[in-house]
Order: sequence, then C-alpha cells, then structure tokens
Amino acid sequence: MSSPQEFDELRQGDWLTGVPNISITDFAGRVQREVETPLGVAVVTQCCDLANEGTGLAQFARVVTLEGTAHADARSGRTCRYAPIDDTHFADLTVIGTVTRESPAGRTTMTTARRLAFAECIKRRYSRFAFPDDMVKVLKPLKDKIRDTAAKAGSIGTVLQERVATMRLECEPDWEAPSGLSLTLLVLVEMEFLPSLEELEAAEPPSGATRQRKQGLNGAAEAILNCTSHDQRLADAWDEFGGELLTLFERGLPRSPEGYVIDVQVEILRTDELSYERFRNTVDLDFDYLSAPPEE
Amino acid sequence: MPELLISDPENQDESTSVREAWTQSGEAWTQSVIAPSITGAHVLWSELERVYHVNPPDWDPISAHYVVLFSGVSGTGVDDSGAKFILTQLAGWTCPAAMTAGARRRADDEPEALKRLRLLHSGFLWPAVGASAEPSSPQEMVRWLHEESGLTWDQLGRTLGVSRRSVHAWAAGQRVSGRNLERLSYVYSTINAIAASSAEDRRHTLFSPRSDMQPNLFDQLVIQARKAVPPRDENALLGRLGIAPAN
Repeated sequence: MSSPQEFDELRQGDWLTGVPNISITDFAGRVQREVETPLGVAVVTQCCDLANEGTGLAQFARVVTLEGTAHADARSGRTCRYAPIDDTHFADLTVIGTVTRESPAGRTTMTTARRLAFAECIKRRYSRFAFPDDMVKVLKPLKDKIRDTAAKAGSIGTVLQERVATMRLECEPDWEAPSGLSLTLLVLVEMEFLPSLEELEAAEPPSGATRQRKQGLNGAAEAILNCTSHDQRLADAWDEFGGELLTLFERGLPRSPEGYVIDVQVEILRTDELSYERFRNTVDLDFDYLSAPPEE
Repeated sequence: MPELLISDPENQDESTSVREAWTQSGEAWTQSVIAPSITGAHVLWSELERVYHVNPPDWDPISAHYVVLFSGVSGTGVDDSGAKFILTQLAGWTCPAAMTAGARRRADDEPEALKRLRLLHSGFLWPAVGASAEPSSPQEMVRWLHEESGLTWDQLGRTLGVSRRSVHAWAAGQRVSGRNLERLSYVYSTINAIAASSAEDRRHTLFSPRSDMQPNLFDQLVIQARKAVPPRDENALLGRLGIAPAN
C-alpha cells in the first residue's frame, strides 16, 4: 500500500481488512518485528496529512475485539488505549506501525459521529495534560469517587454522565509552583440542567422549607435527578453537589506536602458561562488518566 | 490576656509593651492615630477587629506603622503571622504589623492602653460596629460592588477571576474563602477608592482610556485576576497558520 492516490482516499478511523500485519520499527527506523493483524488495521494518520504530505507513509493501529472488563472499560472511556471503531472492534493504540505490504482487501468507513469519537480517543491518549505528581495526590480522593461511580448506573454516575459536560481544573499562581497553590474545580453543567442567572432572578423565590443538606454526594445527585430540566430547584441541588465535591477535594489536601496546595474551590457553571479566557487557563480533568505517582 | 506589643519604628524586632509605649507617648499618640487608608480590611478576617494606621508626625512617613487589633490569636507581636498576612496579603500593604492585640472582650485586668484603643476605635476615629457604612462581610462587599461599581455580574466575575454565577452566589451569602477572598477585597478596595459619587461615575472611571497607553482600570483588574496558563506550546497557533519561526 504505497500509492499516494490510495492514501488520498483514506481517512482517520477507516478500518482496512486484508492487511495481515504491521511493522514495528526500532529507534533507527529499521523494521524490528511484524505484528499480525488478522482483523485488519485502522487509520490513525489524519486524512489531510495523507493527502498533503505525499510521503507514501501512514500510521495504522491494530484492530482487536475486546471482552469482559476490557470491553466495558473501553466502551465507558475508562481507558483510552482502545479507540472505538464499532460496538465490538477497537483500534489498539499501543500497536501502531506502517503497512508495508499489499493493498487492503476491504475498507470500512465511519460515520462522522464515530469518527469524532475515534479522534477524541487519539487526542486524549496523546495530548492530555500531565499533572504534577503532588497535584495527583491531592486529587486522588476526588478521582477515586468519580471513577468508582461514573460508569455505574447509580445517581452519581447518571449525573456525571448525563448532566455534567466536563470538569476542568484551574490553578494559581503557577502550575509548576512548588507550594502555595490554589486549585479550583470547574464543573461544567449542560445548559438545560442549570437555570441561568437571569432565569433565577426573574423567578419567584422558592417557597417552603429549605431542603435538608449534608446528604452526601449521592443525596445531592439524587436531588439533581429529582428535578426535570429547567427546574428552578436545580440551582440549590447543584450547590449541594458542588459542596460535596469540595469536601472530597479538601480530603486530598493532607496527601500532598504541607503547604503545596493551600486552597481548593469548586465552581458549578453552565457550559455557556465559561469564557475562552478561562478555558485556556484550565485543563480538562481526565479522572481515568491521573497517573498514580511512584510510591515513595 | 495576651500582652500588647508595639514595635519600635526603627527596629521592629525590639518590641515593648504597649502599656509602656502608650504611657510614654500620651496624647501625642491619640492625635496621630488615623483611620487606615484602605478601608474594609477589617471585614476580611472574622478575627480581626480593627486596623489603624499610626503615623506620628515626627516619623518618616515611609515608616508608617499599622495597628492591628484582632482576637483569638495565641501569639502576638510584630512576628505574628496573622497580622503580617493581613497587612501584606489581604490589604496589599508592605509595612510590618506594629502591634497586635489578642482580646475581643473587655476584661477586668485589661491594660489601660487597650481601653484607650477601644475608646479610639469606637469613637471619633472609626465608626462603631453596626454604625459603619463599610461592608461587614464578603457578602456585603459583593453587594456593594454590584450596586455601586456600575459593573454587571459578568464584569464583576471577570475582575474577580470567577464566573458571574459565583459572584451572584457570594452576594446571596455563599462562603468566600482563600484566594477568592483576597481578590474580592482587592477589587472592592480599588473600586471603593475611586473618587466618585455614583455607580455611573465609577463605571466611567473604570472604563476610561488612559493617556499613558496603559490598560484602563477595568482591564487592569481583569488582567490581575487571570489564573495561571497551563504549560503548552506557545507557537502552536503560529504553527497552524504556517508562520512558526524556523528553529
């Protein structure tokens, strides 16, 4: 498969069959070994690079099927080792090489939605922010709770999967500072599940007794799920949810060196309330990939 | 009751009893104690009762001393971290704390100096508690800003480095802490210090272009509120545009 014309037709995420193996090279670029790919390969290189560079070279990942926990983890996004092709096939991003043999026998393309998900997985694997080790320690209680509940069918999992768009982390004065850090967890909520400020100001103050607080993260999640979209009570429910996340966040402070993080905050906001300035000053919090620092 | 200490302006490490210092200074001190130029500092910390700016006329103005009166503190004196924190961080002052005191309530054995201090801060030099027009809590500070700065919730959020929803929540009484409290105090102090009689005038001052090619006051506050940018390839955009400098 060396014709640039053939490359021109390929797009990232395409699944090529009839490619029996891909080559793994050493640091010098010499083919070290060939990995069998009985299920074919998936295109990793971006299509415009294939068309524009004219090198006749492209990267391909081995296609595999997964079962059990590995399948569940890949489907839920708990691991980004496997980029999804369809419900059962995945591109194994740890085995990437260059096809050196004959042209593929078949080519299966993706829908745009699947192609975006595939690209997101590649981006996540290779471009995510590397948090300082001590910051990972601080985030551990929060990470453990999120990871343990996000993929499950409970209230917390449902809120995180269906109500929360993403979480981002803000740091001051400097991400590399040795001490005195102040961290803010931004919880970005889908617009329909958090009333706008204008809506809250225009609405009548809520009547009746205030709901009892301190029911834990699960109770706060249930309060959110008990509200339909655009419900005014969602504002209070999210406040409670943010308070519970803050408690988890604070629990991580003693895990880092004394004085490393001196202040943590949680802010709940709608997706339309995050300015670009703030977006660029924050990083996505990928709870599945906060690598555990080496044991001391 | 903790002893009251006052530092020598020339040598802050050599503190003497405020009782002694007060006795020696007499009425001269009373005349020279003035209210701090940065108002509202006392609301930043619930333990802090009052802050005085003490600058006797025969002292070098640069060596101005501040009297910090707060309660619930085990250690007192110029090295007290709480007082230093207030003066150097919260209020943005650089002078050391000259004196700290550790009593909220009156006691039978209260030093005469402290009684006189109380007389001062409850009398003509500083409005008594409850009679002050100054905010007594972060919530009141935010409300003042919203009503008197001429800025919208969104604009306030930008000066404070948080979302407008957070500012709104603070105005409703949600707790403000840490760096957010420091920044709120700074923004409040800055806007409160604008010589203006209405919210409209303050807004005009905040957005008025400066003649020295510097950012206007609003932009300065926004710039100061910026959080750290995560490390990333600064030439990424140039690279995407095909104009990255050749290495």
